[in-house]
Amino acid sequence: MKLTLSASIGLTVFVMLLIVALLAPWIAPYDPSAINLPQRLAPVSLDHWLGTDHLGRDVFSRLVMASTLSLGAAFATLVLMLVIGVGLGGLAGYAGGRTEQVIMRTCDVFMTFPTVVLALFMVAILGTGLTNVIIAIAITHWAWYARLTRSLVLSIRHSDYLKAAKLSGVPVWVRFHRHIMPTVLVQLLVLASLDIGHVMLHVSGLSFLGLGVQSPTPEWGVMINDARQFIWSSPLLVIWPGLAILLSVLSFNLMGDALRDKLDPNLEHEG
Amino acid sequence: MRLELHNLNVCTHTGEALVKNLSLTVESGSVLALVGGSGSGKSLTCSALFDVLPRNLMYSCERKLNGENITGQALRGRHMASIMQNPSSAFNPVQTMMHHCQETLSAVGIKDQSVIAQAMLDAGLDDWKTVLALYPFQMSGGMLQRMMLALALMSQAPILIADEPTTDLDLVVQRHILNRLKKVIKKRQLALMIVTHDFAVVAQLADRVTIMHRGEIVENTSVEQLFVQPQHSVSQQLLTAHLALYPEETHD
Repeated sequence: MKLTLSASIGLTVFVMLLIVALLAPWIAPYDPSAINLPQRLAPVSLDHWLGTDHLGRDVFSRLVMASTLSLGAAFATLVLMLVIGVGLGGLAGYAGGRTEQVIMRTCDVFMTFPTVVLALFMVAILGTGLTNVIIAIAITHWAWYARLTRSLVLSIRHSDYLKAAKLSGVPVWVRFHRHIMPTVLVQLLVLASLDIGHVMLHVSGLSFLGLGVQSPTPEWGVMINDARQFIWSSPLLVIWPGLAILLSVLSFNLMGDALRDKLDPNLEHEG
Repeated sequence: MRLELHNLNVCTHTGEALVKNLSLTVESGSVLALVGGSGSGKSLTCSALFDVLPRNLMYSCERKLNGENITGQALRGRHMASIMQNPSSAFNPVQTMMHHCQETLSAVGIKDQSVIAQAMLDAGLDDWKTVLALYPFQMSGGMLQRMMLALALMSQAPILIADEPTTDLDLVVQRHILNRLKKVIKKRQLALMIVTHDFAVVAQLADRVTIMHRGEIVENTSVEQLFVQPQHSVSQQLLTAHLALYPEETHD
């Protein structure tokens, strides 16, 4: 398989992020929460590769440890969204009739709200914390997955080969998993890979606002918020976690684009 | 094996009757042709037999297999296999023929893999080993229609329902498929109900003919009687229309 330049960059960065996230405790040179006040706001040096923050904690260690949380949260949100979206969308497409109407109108309602506003509302109800932020983002995002799943299920549901399978006595769950799911999942994978960047931005964004991960825990959004007060004296403290978010979201999007080019049958393949 | 369909009534939810009080019988070793113009309710009758009518239609009927009541769902696959009219879209485009065979076999609970080869040979796919590895887009319409016949045969269902099995094919392939169908029915002592509007197909295959018009059976007769002495005006019209296609053959 030939990869375009952007796809290989995306893939490389993503794999590196994944390795860092999985091996974070072994990569981080310092304890990310160890406070060392004499060393506070230290510049970039051999001891502290990316300097230290206002409490003297090693920024590189915090950045590395935060990757686990940020990536993990993004993936957890994605899984939750997929489960809700595919479940309800599949049900709507397959059952049709009133069930479909109810589910799809609910989708429409959820899609009318801007994600952050709805997430703020959910967090206000559920309370702050990473789990609640994950739930809030999933609840505001599932509608897109449900809609896509429904439309794909609908297009296959009325196909002749599904009818033929039914006439041959193939049970409904076998038909679903053999003929419907493979097509649906490929498309959902593309949507999910394009979406994971957004999800990550939302997790970090909500944490930045103080609604998700709370301060001592290393998380990129939290780190930016902590560093905000020192933006004039030590601008690098804001830039490092910002750069981490930028790189990971960029890599996700590049990868999502590449995946779509490969898997979407509606796009013309070049070359 | 004898399958009876009694008193089939299909209507829309507004009450418009689409099929009225239709009864028919299919028996092993014989071919019943269901003939009628477009919209006469032939395909609806087939769907009703399988219990796969669109949900916005209401219907009632009684199905009897060898004298005992049976549901449409119980008939599917095990007792009754279908050959559809559009071979090019009746196969999942991303699965090989082998996948399709296995799906059919597991649906009816047959473990013996040797039925695949037998059925494919009977359907005229002599090169069955190669064909099994093919995807639908690698096959011609005629091959796919043969494959559909093979799938129907390998399910070991004693009754075949063919809904216009040759309309999508050219005349030469049509002829091949019909010959195959005829041979295999004799060989395996199957019952066949064939839905068609083509009198050439009727003449070649059918033993008995049921003519439908606007959801009702207007004539139920043997194939000889139909061509020699059609009783109902609709049958006469259909026959005249057919014979008009072959002017030189009607002189004698």
